[in-house]
Amino acid sequence: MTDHPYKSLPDKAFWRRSVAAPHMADVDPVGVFELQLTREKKVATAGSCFAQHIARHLKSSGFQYYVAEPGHAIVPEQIRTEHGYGLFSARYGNIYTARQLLQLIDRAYGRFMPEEGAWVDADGSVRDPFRPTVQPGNFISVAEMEGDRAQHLAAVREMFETLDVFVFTLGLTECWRSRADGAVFPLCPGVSGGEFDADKYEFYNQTADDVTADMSAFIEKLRAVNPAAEVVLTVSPVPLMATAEPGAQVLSATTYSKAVLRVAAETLRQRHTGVHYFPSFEVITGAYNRGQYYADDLRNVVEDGVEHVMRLFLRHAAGEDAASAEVDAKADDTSEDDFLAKSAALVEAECDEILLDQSAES
Amino acid sequence: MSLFFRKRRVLVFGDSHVEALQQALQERGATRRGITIEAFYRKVPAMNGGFRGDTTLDEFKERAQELGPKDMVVSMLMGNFHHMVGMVQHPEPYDFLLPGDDTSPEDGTTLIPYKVLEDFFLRRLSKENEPVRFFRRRTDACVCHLMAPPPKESTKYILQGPQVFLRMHIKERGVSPAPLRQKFWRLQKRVMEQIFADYEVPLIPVPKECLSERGFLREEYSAPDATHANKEYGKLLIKQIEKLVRAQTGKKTSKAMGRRKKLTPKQKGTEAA
Repeated sequence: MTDHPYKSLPDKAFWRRSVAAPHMADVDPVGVFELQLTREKKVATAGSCFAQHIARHLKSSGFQYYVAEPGHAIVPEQIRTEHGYGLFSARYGNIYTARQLLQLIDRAYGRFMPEEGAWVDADGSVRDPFRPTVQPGNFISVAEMEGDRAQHLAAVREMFETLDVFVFTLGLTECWRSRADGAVFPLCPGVSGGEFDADKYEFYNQTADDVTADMSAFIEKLRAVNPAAEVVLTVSPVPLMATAEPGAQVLSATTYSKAVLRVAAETLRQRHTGVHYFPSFEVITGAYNRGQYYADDLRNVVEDGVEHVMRLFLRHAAGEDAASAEVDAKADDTSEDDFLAKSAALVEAECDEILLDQSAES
Repeated sequence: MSLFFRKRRVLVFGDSHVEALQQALQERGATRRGITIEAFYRKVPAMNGGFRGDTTLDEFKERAQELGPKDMVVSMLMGNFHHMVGMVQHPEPYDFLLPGDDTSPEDGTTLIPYKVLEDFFLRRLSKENEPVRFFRRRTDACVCHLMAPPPKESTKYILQGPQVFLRMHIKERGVSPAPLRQKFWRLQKRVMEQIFADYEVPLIPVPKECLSERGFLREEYSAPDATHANKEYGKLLIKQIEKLVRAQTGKKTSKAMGRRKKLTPKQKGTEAA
């Protein structure tokens, strides 16, 4: 028998040995992944819904999940979380497309100021078109929305300039953009705020070249303010909720979209130093799990799947199992709770004190 | 005694703000012109390990259930929550806007969206005012809530109090700007309106006489501390309550004065559960 290149390859190069045969929980689709993560490194996240899982697990595993816009500490953490603070590293909501991310960094540094004005709902409440669902109940006025947006973009700048690792989950290729200046929206106008007008907005489905170009431009701009920043790309395994591609069927449209994003991610990894691809998409969508990592709606990812992804991520990036890295991630919030507790105690102490005064008088 | 000559009873239940009323009642006496007003301070654990207040919620519930349709329950619960959140200057200065206000946030402050704070107040105050829902459902009397007095404008006045709290947190941090403290009080008022609209309980605004031109508590109605009103304010409350009782005479709608609706036998069963 002659020698050939496959003979010297590791098990991971073979389908049967690394995909079909192992126990489902032991399948590890990581190929090349050179990120070295330490607990000191500040890890920021952005992207589609799946990025929220990554953020949550990083936090609970004791890594420095970096939140540049945590919301004011006078408000209890639970309420801040429910109002979109801390779900990602800044309160930008879901960033589904590469174009959205590129425009975010440009908006943050004043290089792009979209013409699109505030979206005003029928009840008079106000939405930011570039994060229309980020504020439950919406903003109370245009002035409040603009004030919040200004401090949000300041937090975005701070995040880009001081992060060590930026984890971005590529979610979609389909988007809606303004015909006026190309500004893209996370949601089609009219779906959650705004009013659809075909003369103002158009559908746009990014190609692999588009995504690669947008992400390359983004990486260049990120490195301009933070030369040492490393980037981890993942592709969201969550299928499209709906497609607007003319004539398309949603499963096929999902396949196209994810294929484009996967190609772009690999291209970017090969072109740029310090850019890594982590195969969370493969962990969730791989045939080896027989669909068990999807919920009954065949879209949402169940916790077992997320845990599988994060176990592999931490093993490859930090050389440890997530389970062994569990720490008390709530330590940072102590000072916040302490302030409110002391303030409440102050007022209560005064109430007690009145009684003392009365006792002295009686 | 004939039912026709029965005195009308008003039972007031609240936290520390009820003391201004208690002091005024002590001076004036509980009964006048056929209306008896009794004020109870909710008994809760105090910081010194003992208790403050004079009447537990359960004790008050028993009293309230004795009331008839011409009587009244007045709530003054949780009036100081806005002070608990906003009195002390936070190391990271912040501001917020109120619906309808044309003001801008203070320079150099973090803007907190109104809906975030509204949610915070709504959850906390809804929980703390659950007893009012009980009074509304389980007594025959009318139920209303008196809005807590507004904050005091003068930081100097707030800090002059001789009490323990001066040695605490507030001295290290300072007092929040007066406009911010007043906004918190207005936020609390807005949230209480939402809560009590749901309960169908009227929220009675503070007596106009106690308000300064800028909407703070006038000094002549201020107790010598950071947050409370005094006996003179309590006298204003007595007048306000008497006026409410008189206004309720002849009213037939249950909603107008926070009187419970007659329950069906099925509803009674649910309530009992």
